[in-house]
Amino acid sequence: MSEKRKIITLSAIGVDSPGLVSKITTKIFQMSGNIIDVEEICRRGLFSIFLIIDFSASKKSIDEITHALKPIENETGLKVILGIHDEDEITDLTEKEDYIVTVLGIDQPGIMANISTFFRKYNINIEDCRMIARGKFFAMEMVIDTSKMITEPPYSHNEAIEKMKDGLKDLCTGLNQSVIIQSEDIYKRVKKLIVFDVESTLIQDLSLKNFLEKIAKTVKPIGSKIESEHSNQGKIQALVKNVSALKGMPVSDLKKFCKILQLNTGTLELIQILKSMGFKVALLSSGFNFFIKRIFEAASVDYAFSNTLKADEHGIITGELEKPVITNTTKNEILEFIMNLENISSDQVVAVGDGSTLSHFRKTVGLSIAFKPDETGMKTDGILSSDRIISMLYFLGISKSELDKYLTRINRKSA
Amino acid sequence: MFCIKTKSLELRLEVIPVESLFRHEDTLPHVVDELLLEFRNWANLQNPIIVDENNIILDGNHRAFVFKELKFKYIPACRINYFNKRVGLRYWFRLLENIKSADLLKQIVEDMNGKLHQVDDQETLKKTLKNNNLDCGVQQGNFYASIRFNKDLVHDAVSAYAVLAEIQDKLVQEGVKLKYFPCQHMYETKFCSELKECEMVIWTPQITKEMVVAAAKRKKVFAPRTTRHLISPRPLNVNVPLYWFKENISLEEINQRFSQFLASKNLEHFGPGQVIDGRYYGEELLFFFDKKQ
Repeated sequence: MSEKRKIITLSAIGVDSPGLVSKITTKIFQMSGNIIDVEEICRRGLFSIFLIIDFSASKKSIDEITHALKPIENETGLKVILGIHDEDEITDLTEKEDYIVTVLGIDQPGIMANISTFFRKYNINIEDCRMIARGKFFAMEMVIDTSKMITEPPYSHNEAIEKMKDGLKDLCTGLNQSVIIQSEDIYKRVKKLIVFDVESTLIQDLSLKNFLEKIAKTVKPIGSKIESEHSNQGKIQALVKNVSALKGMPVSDLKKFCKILQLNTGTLELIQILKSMGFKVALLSSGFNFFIKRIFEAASVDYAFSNTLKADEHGIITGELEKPVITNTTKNEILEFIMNLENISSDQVVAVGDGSTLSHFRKTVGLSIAFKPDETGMKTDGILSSDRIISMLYFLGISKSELDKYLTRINRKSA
Repeated sequence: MFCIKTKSLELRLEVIPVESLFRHEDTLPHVVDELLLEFRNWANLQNPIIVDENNIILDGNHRAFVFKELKFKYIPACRINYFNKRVGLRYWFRLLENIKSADLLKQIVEDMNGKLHQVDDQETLKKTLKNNNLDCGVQQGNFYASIRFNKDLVHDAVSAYAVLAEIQDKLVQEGVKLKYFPCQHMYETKFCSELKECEMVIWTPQITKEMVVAAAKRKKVFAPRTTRHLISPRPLNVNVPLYWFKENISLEEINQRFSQFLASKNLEHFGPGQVIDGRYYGEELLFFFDKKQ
């Protein structure tokens, strides 16, 4: 019968100074200890470390080892707590089922308490938690382990996780927070392409509404069809479907209307940051290409697909679109095409839309984000309810200080 | 031969001997150097060159030149009917940066016995150049003028561009920075409004397809960056392995291989106005890509 391993945990906390990790780990090494896990954090001049050490190779007894480790306190000035554990108490890493949960929004009391209580209810363990933005704006990243989550019949474990995700999204919506839940293996997979559904994410809602109203008023036959739709997405589809009504209109007039369209604040900066992070950026639009061209000229995206109106040699619209017509249903095919060209798999793609049924491509990607969704119960990985589209960078692991650095660099360049 | 028939234009993709090509435009040394480096080290030729029925190169002049330099016997090409209306002939305009006033240009033109005729506005300049297609135009702020030379200096389209190249060289020697840009940009309000005080635009002579063909057949070449052909639909991303062109292989054999190679690919059709791999295409596109395994 093999002997159980000698496991000791060491926690140390105190004022940070150079050499602390070296002093602690050298001592462990001198006693033939093998560090099997470690977490070290420095925050605002304070230091904390947590180590799990296997002393099975040591000839000394547990008492002798703990006695020998205690002087670390005097040598480092840290408060040290030692724990002795049975091998069975240590969870095997392979049994874990980790998810990364990112929560962000305007700070208010009770966010952390509400979310941690929610996880406790499901028997979900919070393994790691860190603030990535502090101040008026709050952003927090948590690692949770769902391997021991309570699964109530008739749901399977996976169904129960989906149900838990929906519950967390509802909770965060109630707390006015945006949230995203990503499986850790997908989170760690390097993302390479980010695709935006232009109308629902990059264009200011109000300007899109004004543009559509202007078209509806000017081109009477199309007006009722546009107005009968409730969402901006639906209205654009109505415009594209009934494009024949634009026959006889000078392209230049329509271009003038397009000037009404404005980008959401921070869009160009977001694209620039994504590009400097190494992302390929793709824009998919079922609208007309005048506006897409404007974004391309301002931000040099890698891919942009939209519809082009046919015009005669005098610049008069013929009432037809150049084929193939890009609709919400063909966007998925275009995304497949881009993935093929870039030779990347779907789990390396981030899709940002409004999460509605019209943003079809969200179903086939590694990370899907619904930006300011109209509907509830989105089947996306996360919801960004903030007006600041640039906040989606927190979902990609960027901290506030990193974001500030990027923005300073951009401002310096444009100055 | 791999043939694609669209409603508007027939595209015939084939491999042709490099020696059979006629160029109509000179090359820029720095572009040649870049392509030499690329083709010596790169595995594939991404896009075929475009030729007309007489093997006159309409697009891909630098690629063809470098293939010849590297002693490749053949090159992948797309043959089209040049006089089809879906093949547009446009021009490269010149953007002169760091030029304080039109005086320097005036002086150079006068030294070459040319004349600058000031006109009222952009519309008048456009009309003047349309009626006198060997003239150049100048635009700086609200200053517009056409440039005309004696017939002993500018007697055909090729000489019109040669004189322009001479003017450019003299300006560059004076510290002016030269850039090329597609002529259509001049009709975009945003582009014009963003022109700085120290920037001047030269409108190049508006030659015709007939002039291009006549020059190429007589083996006369225009200055670099003269024509800009819009081919709709444009075939892209054929990605032919370059090692094929180093092999000792017959034209028939390599063409057969090329056709089979293209047939094994997917073909996606896109309307004009799309951005692919960071480039904006104003033309309709036929995009080849590998089938997923």
